[in-house]
Amino acid sequence: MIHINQLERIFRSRLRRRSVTAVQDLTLSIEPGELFGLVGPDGAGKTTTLRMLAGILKPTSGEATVNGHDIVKEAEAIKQELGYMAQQFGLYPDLTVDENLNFICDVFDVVGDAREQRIQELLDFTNLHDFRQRRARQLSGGMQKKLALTAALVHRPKLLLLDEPTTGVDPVARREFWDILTELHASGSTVIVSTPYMDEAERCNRVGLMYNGRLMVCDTPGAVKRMLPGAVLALRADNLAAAERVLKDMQQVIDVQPYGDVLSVIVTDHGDSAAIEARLSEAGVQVESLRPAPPRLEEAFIYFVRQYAANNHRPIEEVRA
Amino acid sequence: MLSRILNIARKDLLHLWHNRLLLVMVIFGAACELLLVGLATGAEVDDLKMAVLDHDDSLTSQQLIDALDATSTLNLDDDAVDVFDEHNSRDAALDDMFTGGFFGSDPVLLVEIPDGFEDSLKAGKQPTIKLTVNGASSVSAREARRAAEDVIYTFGAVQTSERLAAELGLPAPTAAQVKQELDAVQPDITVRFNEELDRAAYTTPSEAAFVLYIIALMVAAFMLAREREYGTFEQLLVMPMRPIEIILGKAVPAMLIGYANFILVLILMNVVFDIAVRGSLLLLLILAMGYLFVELGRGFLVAMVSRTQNQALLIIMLMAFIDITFSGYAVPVESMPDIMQVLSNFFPIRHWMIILRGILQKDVGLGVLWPQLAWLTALGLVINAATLWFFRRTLGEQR
Amino acid sequence: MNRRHVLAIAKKEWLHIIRDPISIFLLMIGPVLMLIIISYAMATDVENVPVMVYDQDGSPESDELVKRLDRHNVLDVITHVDSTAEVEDKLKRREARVAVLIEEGFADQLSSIAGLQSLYTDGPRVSFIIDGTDPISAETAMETALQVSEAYMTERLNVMLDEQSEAGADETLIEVFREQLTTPITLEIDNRYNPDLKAIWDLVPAMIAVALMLPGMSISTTIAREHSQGTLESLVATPVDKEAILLGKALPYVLISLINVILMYIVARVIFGVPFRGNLALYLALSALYAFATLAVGLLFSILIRNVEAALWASMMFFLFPGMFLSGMFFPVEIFPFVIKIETLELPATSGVVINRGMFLQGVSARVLWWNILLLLIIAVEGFEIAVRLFKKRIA
Repeated sequence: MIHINQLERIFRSRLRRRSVTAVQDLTLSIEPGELFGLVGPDGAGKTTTLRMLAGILKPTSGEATVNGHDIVKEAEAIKQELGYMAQQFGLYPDLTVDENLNFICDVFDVVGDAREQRIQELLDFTNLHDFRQRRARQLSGGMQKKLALTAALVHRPKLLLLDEPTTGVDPVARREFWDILTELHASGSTVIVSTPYMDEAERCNRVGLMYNGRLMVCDTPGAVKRMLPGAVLALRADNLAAAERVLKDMQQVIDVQPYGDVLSVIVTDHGDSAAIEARLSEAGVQVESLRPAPPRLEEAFIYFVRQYAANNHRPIEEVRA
Repeated sequence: MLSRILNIARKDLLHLWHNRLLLVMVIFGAACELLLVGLATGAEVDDLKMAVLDHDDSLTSQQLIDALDATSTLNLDDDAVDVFDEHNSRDAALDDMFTGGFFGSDPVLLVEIPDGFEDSLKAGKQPTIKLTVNGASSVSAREARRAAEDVIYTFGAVQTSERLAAELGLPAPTAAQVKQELDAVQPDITVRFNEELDRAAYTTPSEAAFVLYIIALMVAAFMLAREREYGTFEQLLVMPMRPIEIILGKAVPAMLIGYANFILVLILMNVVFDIAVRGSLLLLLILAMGYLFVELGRGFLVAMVSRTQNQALLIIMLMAFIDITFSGYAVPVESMPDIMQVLSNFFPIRHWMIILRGILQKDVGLGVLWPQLAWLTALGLVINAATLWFFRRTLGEQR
Repeated sequence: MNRRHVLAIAKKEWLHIIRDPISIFLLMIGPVLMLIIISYAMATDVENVPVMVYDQDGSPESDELVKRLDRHNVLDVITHVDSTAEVEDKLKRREARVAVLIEEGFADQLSSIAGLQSLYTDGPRVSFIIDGTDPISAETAMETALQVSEAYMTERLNVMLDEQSEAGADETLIEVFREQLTTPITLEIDNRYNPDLKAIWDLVPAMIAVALMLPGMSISTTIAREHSQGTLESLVATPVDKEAILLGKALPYVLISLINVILMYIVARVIFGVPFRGNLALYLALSALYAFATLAVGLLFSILIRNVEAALWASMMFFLFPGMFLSGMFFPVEIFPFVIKIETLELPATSGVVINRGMFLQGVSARVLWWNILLLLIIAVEGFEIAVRLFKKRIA
């Protein structure tokens, strides 16, 4: 479906004083029917990647094909078969839901009886039936996102590119949104979605972790988690800040990551828990509980980012190899 | 308070700095316009094309044609009358001649000299010359007509005095004598302040007035309308600042830009168009500051009633045309209907125009210009009070 | 280009316009309002120029001259003054723009042969001072002052000569004077297309062309607005052609322009009584062409400048000032220096003014206007083509 080879995009600032590399050395293949998650913090290069795949941004170097079409030379052909949902609300705020959808149908040549049928079907799917006459401006953030998704789906695209579709949306709406995506995936659509949220990434069949314009890791969520060396211990204690300071210096501790009132301690082996407890009480930290936990994607991600920074920004695979 | 005002001002200047294209346009656009319009309109209405049908074909008629051609206003176009051979009807020929030229370069005037012109003139029998004027553009039509009338009148007078001298057996009159005879019933006319009746001396100061006017209005309106359009206005309102501080903060960059433009234009006027400031430059600059405040107030007012920059533009366009009309630029205010004359007082640019021209060309001071200053002050107070009121109201809505 | 796409874009743009009450009001009514106000204010030619009189003669003749000056439309005697200092002061204060100075002995010059002879040696004892800051009205005032005083003096002198002749003065001498006072050549003047040379007759058609630039200015921010609104990214990710986007954006404005033309046509005919001598169908067709040309330029601006504010400035500088001053509305294009003439070529308003005047006043055919039509076609087609070429369906 998608083949990306050594893709790179550099933005030069208008004053030509400095340039920013938004995406570099990106090589990736995505198969039909995947629900692929592009994961990373703000500024990782997710949006730039999606824009290049949508044919609306020229890469600086490298190449990529979408459905066999070159993203530079055959950009218009890609757009024909693509549902693209930009990060920013891309529909017209002063038009009603119906007017917006009719406009998009016109643009994608969805005409005649098929149009009304398709709109009905999608509105059922996204629960927007009651708002057809409402101006898009007056919809809530979550409903706007659903409307944008509806618009991206009217022409039954072979490929869906969704750029942070749930950012700024309440948790309930987020869940609903992901149920829709899962359903689309189940029905055989190819979906690429970018997100900064790890819980969402877990629902993808494959994730690519991006950081600083590079793809650090790319595999199924399970495999990515397994790439985390050693084991994870969840620590509850009275003074987490002091505990973190102490544990960081221990030989058998690979990484320490605070999550609210829990400290995730990544260690070389489960069996080290006794030594850790001893070291903590020695430092005067009262341990409430310390028990093994299943590794989460987030822990893996943060571990990779730290490794990556420590290894002069070389991709994880290279370092491991 | 001052630091907060300057803070807002700095933010707006930064916005300009980051948008170089806008910066260049805002600062040099006005000067370019002045050059363009000054060069274009500063020229006299000269070299208008004249067609001649000489049915007499005599020495005298030839002399008259030469005299007409010799004026700077009229320029003989020999080929223009060829159309009379191509058409059967005079009307069709005239239409053909008077339309369809490039750059509006159709002949403006047709002079028809009747058969027997020389003989009747010599016999003192008042021959009739027919002037057909192309009325499609009344400005050049009037200009051409005036020049032709002048030449023909003088030419006739010379012929008469020569004839009379011959009849009385006197020597032919000298040029000085003829002039004296012509001037006998012509009063002396002295033109003051713009002695040469130079159009550039009129249009460029007007342009300078417009520059200050439009820059102040647009910078102020767009600056505030932008914030409203992009929703940053809300942000501005929740900051711990009083409305007057926000307004003043926004006024500072607009003042700077307006002032920079004005000085650039004054320099250009002096260097390119040779129009020096005859009165007090200091007074002019101080009053310019006052005028800026009035127009800035109007600009903010425009922004307060429009939600987007586009709306602000449309309102300003409309205002600009009306303002320029009432400025007395194209038609003197005295010539307008009474009600328009009264109305014109409520347009700040009218007073600014009088002040600028007065100081620039007449070397007058506040002793003469105080009524204009009083009007501007009153208008400024009302307009700025209205702006503040609107601002507070918006504030109330948003909070 | 897909017709459905063009219509889809046009429909969407139309909705944007009508959903924004201020814009629709200004776009629909603005040009008409502009036409009415400006033309009404300028409807009068130079009139009622304020005149002051400094009469040191105080004779019935000087009174009569002042009365005749006052009676003329162009001049309006508002005050009498008693010193040259006062003349100077009032000129500076703009209270009066013309001063009539009548010296002692003015009446004597008009009532005897000796007086008439003194006219030839010294000139008349009446003179004028005119404020030249506004050369256009000054010239008119000057011309009128000369005409009126000459006519009056000639008339008065002829009466005097008649009286002298009856009183038995030298007939030959009187005959010579009389001949000198008669106009040797009479003029028959035909002001074609505009019999009274009314400024309003040629101003209104020109103004229609200039007012029609409003839609062009308005469209110059269309891309910048989609850009700032965030909708451009989604729009360029759809398979719509660039041509369809631009043409679709222009269509609603063409419609608005045509509605404006019809409204302004009615205003011109009914309120200002300007004749229309051309073919109405041709006029509407040419107006549509003109609208396309201004919109093409507006679109070009919109594509070149992705910032609303900058686009507004640019369109203001391209449309507003040159439109008013370089289009031939106030000043005839033929007097401009060559470089500026070339500059006016790319200004649709220049051709628009010629076409409108041609259609209203001259009743010309399309063949006569071919040059201007060609120019508009080039601006419309080339402007559009360049706009399409420069418009990248990408976001950076």
